[in-house]
Amino acid sequence: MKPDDAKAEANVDDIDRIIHEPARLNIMLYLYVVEKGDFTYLLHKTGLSKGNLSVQLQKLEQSGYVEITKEFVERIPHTLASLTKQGRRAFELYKETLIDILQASGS
Amino acid sequence: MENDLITATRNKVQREQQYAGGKSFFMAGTNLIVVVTAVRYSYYILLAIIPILLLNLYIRKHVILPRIGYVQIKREPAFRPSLWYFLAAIAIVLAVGFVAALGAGEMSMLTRQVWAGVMVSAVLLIMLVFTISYLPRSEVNILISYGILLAALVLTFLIDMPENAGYLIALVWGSANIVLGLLQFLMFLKTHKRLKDED
Repeated sequence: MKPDDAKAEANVDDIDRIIHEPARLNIMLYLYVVEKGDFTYLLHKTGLSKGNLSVQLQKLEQSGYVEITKEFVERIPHTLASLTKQGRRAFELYKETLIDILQASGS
Repeated sequence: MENDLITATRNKVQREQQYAGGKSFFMAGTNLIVVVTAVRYSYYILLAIIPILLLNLYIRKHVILPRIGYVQIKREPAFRPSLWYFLAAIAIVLAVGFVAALGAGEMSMLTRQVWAGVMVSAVLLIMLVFTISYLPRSEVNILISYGILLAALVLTFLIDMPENAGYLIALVWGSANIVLGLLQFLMFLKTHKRLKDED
């Protein structure tokens, strides 16, 4: 095994499996680029069903990556989701890990 | 370019939030036309803004548009203002004032000085807003619109041009904004489907 392969193999194990799932990755990406977004925003952007989105958000919330709050905006209740500091850091780490793997496998 | 996807997604979300439905273009265009027409002919024309605002309220209340969701945009600086922007703004205004003073015919010196002062204050105010607030990149376009409005006003008042080119420029720019807004609105209705249980 070449050293690069070993590095790539080690990094693959480092991938955050909570974020790596495509639906959750999509949610993380669309929350990463804003401060907060409501349920409708995520529904439109991710293309997930309401049930699936709700389940994935719960998983992210349990992992401490997403914070769910309920607010009234112009007298309309909004379920707002935002990334926590831990969530932002985890997403950045996930991105760096993926880049490392791709660079190692490409060399 | 490791951040391409994130940057592209951020820009797309900001653009959609800002321009979805073409409202901002439409409002900018109508306001521009009303303001320059009022300044040119009669300030009573400013009252035309009231029915436009009422129409906006009516649409918001009675017309169900596809929802794109509520988002709080991450505040990021469009660019970092520095002393050079202030100096450049003052230099531009002084240059325009100087040209106006050279070509002035009917307007008195005092009127010209007052207007030059107003222009300088306006530009400084814009720069101040730049300095104290962080704007998403897409909002820079709106500031460019206001810059053109300001330039049009300078031309309208300070330079005695045949056919009043400043007013015409503002009129064309405003109309272009309205057309763009309407086109965006139609595209928005076409590309954004309403969710099943939205209404």
